Amino acid sequence: MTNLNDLKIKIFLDTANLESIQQCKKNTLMLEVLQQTQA
Amino acid sequence: MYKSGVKDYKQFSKDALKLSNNLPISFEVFSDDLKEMETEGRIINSWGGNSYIKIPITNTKGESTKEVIQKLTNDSIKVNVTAIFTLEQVENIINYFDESTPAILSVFAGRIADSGMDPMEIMKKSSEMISDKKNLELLWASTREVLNIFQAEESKSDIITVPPDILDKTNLLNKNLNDFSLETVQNFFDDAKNANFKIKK
Repeated sequence: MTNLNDLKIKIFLDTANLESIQQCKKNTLMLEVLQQTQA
Repeated sequence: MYKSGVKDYKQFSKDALKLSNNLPISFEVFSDDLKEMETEGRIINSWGGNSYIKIPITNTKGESTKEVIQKLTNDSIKVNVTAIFTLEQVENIINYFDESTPAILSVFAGRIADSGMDPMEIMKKSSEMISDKKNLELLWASTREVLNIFQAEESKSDIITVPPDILDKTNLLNKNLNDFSLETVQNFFDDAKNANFKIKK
């Protein structure tokens, strides 16, 4: 089984949308950085 | 950012900082002038929170921003160096960071892949190149698909940035491929039905 929580890598949210930031705060997955531009 | 409807950058940034609850957050500078980039970085840093200042690896004239990076990190301002595409770029900047200031190197793996080149080698070598710099972290940027998260892990990248639409797709992890196939066929069928397409004799 593949599980994101088993990974060492930190997953950061890439968005400039405040609603997306708010929604991600509700996720169990911890998102540690909020990027401002779409790459 | 413009696409997201942001009109007032300072207000947006302060709102985002409030929501981020002191988690790291990266804000970009806008100037193309090296001196102004540094000034903008200092202003953004003064807004507080756990901010990283996004500095492009060069300006639009191709002039290196290494001295901007050096000055900001010497003053304990954290930076996120963006738009890195080559190992030469990594090599040319790694000695310009203050060693006690955390910093991120964002390599645009997705855009490298867009050019037809496998980004894995560049990411793995970049990781090796910064391995003795404890304050530096390697970031896999311009993520295109869920698989990239696992590729980034394999490449020993420290961080990957994931846009919300791809993050939503992580719900598909471990999905049974036979079920996925059946759902896909159902989607095709429904689309054709909704379009009222018919093939006549």
